[in-house]
Amino acid sequence: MGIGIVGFRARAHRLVPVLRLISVLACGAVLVAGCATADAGRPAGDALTVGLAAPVSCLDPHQTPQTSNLHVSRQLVDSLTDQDPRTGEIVPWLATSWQVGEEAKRFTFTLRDGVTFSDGTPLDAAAVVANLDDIAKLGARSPLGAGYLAGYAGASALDAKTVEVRFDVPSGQFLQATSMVTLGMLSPGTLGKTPEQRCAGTLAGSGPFVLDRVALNEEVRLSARTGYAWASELATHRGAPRVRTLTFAIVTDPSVRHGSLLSGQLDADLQVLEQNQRSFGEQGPRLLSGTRPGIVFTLLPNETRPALHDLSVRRAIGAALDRSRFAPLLAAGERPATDVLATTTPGYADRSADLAYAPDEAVRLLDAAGWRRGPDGVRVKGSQRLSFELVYSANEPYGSVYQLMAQQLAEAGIELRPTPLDDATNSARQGAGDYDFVSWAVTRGDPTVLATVYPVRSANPQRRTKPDEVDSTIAEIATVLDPAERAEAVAAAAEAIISGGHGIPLFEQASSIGLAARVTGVRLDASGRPIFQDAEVRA
Amino acid sequence: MRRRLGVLPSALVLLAATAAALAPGLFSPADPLRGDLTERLLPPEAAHLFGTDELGRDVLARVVHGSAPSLQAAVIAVGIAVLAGSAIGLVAGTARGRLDDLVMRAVEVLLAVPSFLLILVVVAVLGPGTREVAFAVGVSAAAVFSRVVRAEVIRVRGSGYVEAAAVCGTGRATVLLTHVLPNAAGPVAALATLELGNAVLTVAAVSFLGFGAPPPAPEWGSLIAAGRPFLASAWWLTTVPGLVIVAVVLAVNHLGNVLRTRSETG
Repeated sequence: MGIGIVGFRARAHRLVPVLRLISVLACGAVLVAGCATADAGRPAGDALTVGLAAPVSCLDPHQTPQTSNLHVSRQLVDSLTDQDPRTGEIVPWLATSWQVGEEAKRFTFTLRDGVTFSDGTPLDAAAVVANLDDIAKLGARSPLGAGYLAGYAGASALDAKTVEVRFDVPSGQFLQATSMVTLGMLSPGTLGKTPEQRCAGTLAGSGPFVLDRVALNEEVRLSARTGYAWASELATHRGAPRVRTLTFAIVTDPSVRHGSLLSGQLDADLQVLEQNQRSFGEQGPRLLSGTRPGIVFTLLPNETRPALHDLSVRRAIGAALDRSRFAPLLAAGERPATDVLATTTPGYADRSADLAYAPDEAVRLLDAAGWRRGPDGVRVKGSQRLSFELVYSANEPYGSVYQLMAQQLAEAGIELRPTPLDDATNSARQGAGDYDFVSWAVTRGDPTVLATVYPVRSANPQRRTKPDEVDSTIAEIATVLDPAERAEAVAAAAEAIISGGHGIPLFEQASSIGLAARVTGVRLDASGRPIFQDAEVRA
Repeated sequence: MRRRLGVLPSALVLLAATAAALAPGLFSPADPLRGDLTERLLPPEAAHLFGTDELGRDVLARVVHGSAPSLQAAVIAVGIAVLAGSAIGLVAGTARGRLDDLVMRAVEVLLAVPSFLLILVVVAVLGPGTREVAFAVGVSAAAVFSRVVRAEVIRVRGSGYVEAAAVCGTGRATVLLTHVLPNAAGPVAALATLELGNAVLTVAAVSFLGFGAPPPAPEWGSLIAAGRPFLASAWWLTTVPGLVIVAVVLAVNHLGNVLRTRSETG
């Protein structure tokens, strides 16, 4: 790894004009980060400034599903449990112990003593009940929470320290869900506010940091909570944060973020692109990466489109992709998919045989279904062409992977047109179903995550209309608790998804975080979100 | 005389760019759309004069094949601007009176709106694509042409030969097309050349913002945009197309300046 650094310096003399340009760009970043670093009076090593790749649009963890928002919210709220990113094991956090009733319909949590929200109110059983009721009441406003609380029948405080949560149907996923930031605890006072007020930042949690200032397109500034003493069991240092202020500077340009990290204006870059990872080594800034559990980055067909309604076409597209060739374009911790789930998800199994590159099989499937090569090499049947538009946000870093996929599919006579769109157009078109393909990944360390994308009653980007074995097999996963039985249920669901061509797994996504040399103690949680409670900045 | 100095290199640059647009195979036999992943991000060397990009595609091939859409869009934009602007200017300059007032106030409104903003609005309505960008740039430049043509028409209308033609009983339309228009053409041609340089730059800027042809089609502006994340690791991805745009715009601008001086003095 040290060689990377040496190589970077050795090339530097040829890069002088470029470096000059970078310094100009970095100046732009200083303007953005300036508000945070201009505070001259503070002792060195007291503040941490991290670069966030996307603007913050809503800070209420109960509502927002977006990564950039949740990166901030995670520092503000605690959860009942935490999940060990290495083993997937659920460990105590706000709850010191719990019992799962038979059939996973009843959960009893015993809460830790002495926990308070930042507005002073105690975190007791009544507060936990109020939080769960709030998320259930948010309904569609909480796309992630709705899945975590599927079948929720209510919760009650058995005494001040004991909460009982009940479900109508078995909920094998709920215990893991309690570790997610979406089920983080907000003070009862906060829950009384409107969802819009909470989004804008009027919220108090029990987390290691409290919110100081939100400037939606500029920065979010947090300060350490004095007296914080209830970190999760995974933290090495359990007390109050050692940095006094934590600032999320919004720097959308990846090269500006990278330049600012190298020059020391940022202490961390929360999204390092693949092309910049060569400049990390043992000396200087370090790279912290973790494969994200959950649904891998997956190509999802709009099955209402006539050509994509054809199962042979969907399967041929999967067979015509050579995923092993994606590797050089992927970042640290990312790898070609070998299942519908990432390797770090409980229930994952190596299904690479079903996802192997099989160009002959693709040709056979298409020929058998009557798709013949047209004059331009693209297959046609009647008036239909195998030409598909893949819409994605221009801010997404995977444009080159899509272009490589387009090259590979062209070999089989399928035209893929990756179309980058601005965020507003992208979400409008995805909402209206105006696409042939979209690509999604959903992060969660539990196989029930499949229920957020594939069943008819879910986000359903495939626009499927009739429930079939995909729906029934995925529903089955939530009802079983025994690991072996779960693995079987996941296998059945994965089989139904892959053989039905409802999702074409591409690659496993990772969180890649660049850290300045002076920063230590930052860890990634099981969802790949950075935790700054432990962080330390050397002067 | 001093201006003549740069004419030959400018003409050569323009000639090369035009030739690249018409016969890209002549300059680079490599495929601009397919690359070899084992040869990704190679710095400039003998086999790849301008290096390769993140998918192993030859940057020279992409720049050469990108000249056709980029220049085409600029030429179409100027064409639209000249045609629409001349028509508006001719009508306003000939009719005068209330119609002239009305048309020219509308043109002034168009001129008051920052042209880049106007282009973005038009592209947002039409959707992304090379032709759409060309149309938007053309519309935004038409106002300038209409003002110049109107001024020329008013100037030429008062001259002796036009009055003589009218006295001879020549039809109004014939006078406009055979006497007024040809004599007003000089400044328009000079302005068109200057605007061409502008148009190349604007088309590249709009394509840089992601409104041009969708990937993987190469366009000068989108090539720079695609290379931007690699600024620190692969300078050639942004530098080469950037230099090409600079060279073409400078060349066109210089020739335009020479033409303008000629039309003013001659």
